[in-house]
Amino acid sequence: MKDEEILNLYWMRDERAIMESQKSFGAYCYSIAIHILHTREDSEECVNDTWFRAWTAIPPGRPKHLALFLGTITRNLSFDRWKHKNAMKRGHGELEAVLEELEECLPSRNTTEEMVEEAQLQSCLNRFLGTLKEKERNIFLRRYWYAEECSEIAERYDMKLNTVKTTLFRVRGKLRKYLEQEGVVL
Amino acid sequence: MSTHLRERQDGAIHLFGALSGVDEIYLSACEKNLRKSKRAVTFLHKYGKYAAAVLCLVMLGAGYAGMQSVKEVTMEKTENTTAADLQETPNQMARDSVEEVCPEEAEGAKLGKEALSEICVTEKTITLEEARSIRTVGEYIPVSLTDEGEILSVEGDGKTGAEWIKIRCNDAGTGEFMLKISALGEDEMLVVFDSDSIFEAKEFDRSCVERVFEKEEQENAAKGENAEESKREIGVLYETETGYVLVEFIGDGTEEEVWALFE
Repeated sequence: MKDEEILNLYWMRDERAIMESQKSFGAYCYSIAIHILHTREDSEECVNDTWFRAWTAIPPGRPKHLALFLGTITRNLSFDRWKHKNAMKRGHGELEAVLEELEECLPSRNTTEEMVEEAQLQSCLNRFLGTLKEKERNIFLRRYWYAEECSEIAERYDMKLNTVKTTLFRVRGKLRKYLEQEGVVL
Repeated sequence: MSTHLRERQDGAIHLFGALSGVDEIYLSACEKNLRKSKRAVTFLHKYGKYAAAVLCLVMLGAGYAGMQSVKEVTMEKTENTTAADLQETPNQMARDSVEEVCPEEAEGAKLGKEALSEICVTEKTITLEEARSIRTVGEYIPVSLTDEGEILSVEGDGKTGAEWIKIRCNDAGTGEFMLKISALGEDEMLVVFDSDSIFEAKEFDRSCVERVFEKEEQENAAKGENAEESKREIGVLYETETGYVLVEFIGDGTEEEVWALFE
């Protein structure tokens, strides 16, 4: 089924939209999730959550590139899950429970100020990506957007592993300089 | 984990999260490029050499056939020619003869020659002065090289004269070395940069030369060969406004001689 047809299903509130999304984009979204989470169960859950997020976002949304739209949702969900798990690892035993309880007291993280800062950082990153050569940008995104291993990237682009690592090293250096120039503090 | 490390990790997490906002154009291009490059690479890897070989054979065949007909026509004309006509150069005669008898074939031969010159890179001996005047690559010829030195030959790309230069020299001893200066694109740069003996210009210093010599000596010692007799290979990669220039040293030479060239 074509993207447009799947989008129409979402718009018509037809539940087949979820089934068709799974058929067309399940493997793609799972690949994104597994690279971040490295566990099958968590990845599958994130992919399933992706369809429900999409269900609530479309309509009113009508993404131009459905695959990228769904992929981005999967990435965000997987990353949130990873952060949650990672944060839990920092505590031990009772402390874990204490932190979890305290989390309930935290104000919403998406304050206006934070959202503006986040948007500025995203805009800065997009400008930086615009300065890169296409091949550099693709390798960078494969690593830091899709979280692919260097060996996978090397195979994907038929390059030597060291070349991929060298390219990433150079691009990271460029990004550090760029962020410093832009006055970005993380 | 120290506070500093925790902060750095949080910063990285923040950055990874912010990358979710990457413009779809870039992500989309990333996917498209993947399919295109895979296909292109596969095709070139599988058939590139064969295609080039077949093309060269076809061109050679066409050239040979052209020459045969030229020869036949020339022989006919020679029989009827006067003594004065014989003073004309054979090439000129052949060209005239073909144009007289078969203008289309003459045109075809011209086109074939042009096509061949585009496909096959021919080496052309040039002077050091000419080499230095070649845009981009000429600027990277070491200033220490002069016509008064031990230069054996200078060659350039016959077609454009702007892709590469090879300079063969005698070193101070009895050996020879070659300096190859090539203009590279992004893909070629990534391939050559993978080598242990190629360094980025801004990071290149005497210690890099020392490392290459040491490594080579160790390898030769392991093989049981005399390190003094082996060829040295070392390259420096410069980033230019339009791409990259690689200056390579290949041949005999001491550490001091090599460093003096790049210094």
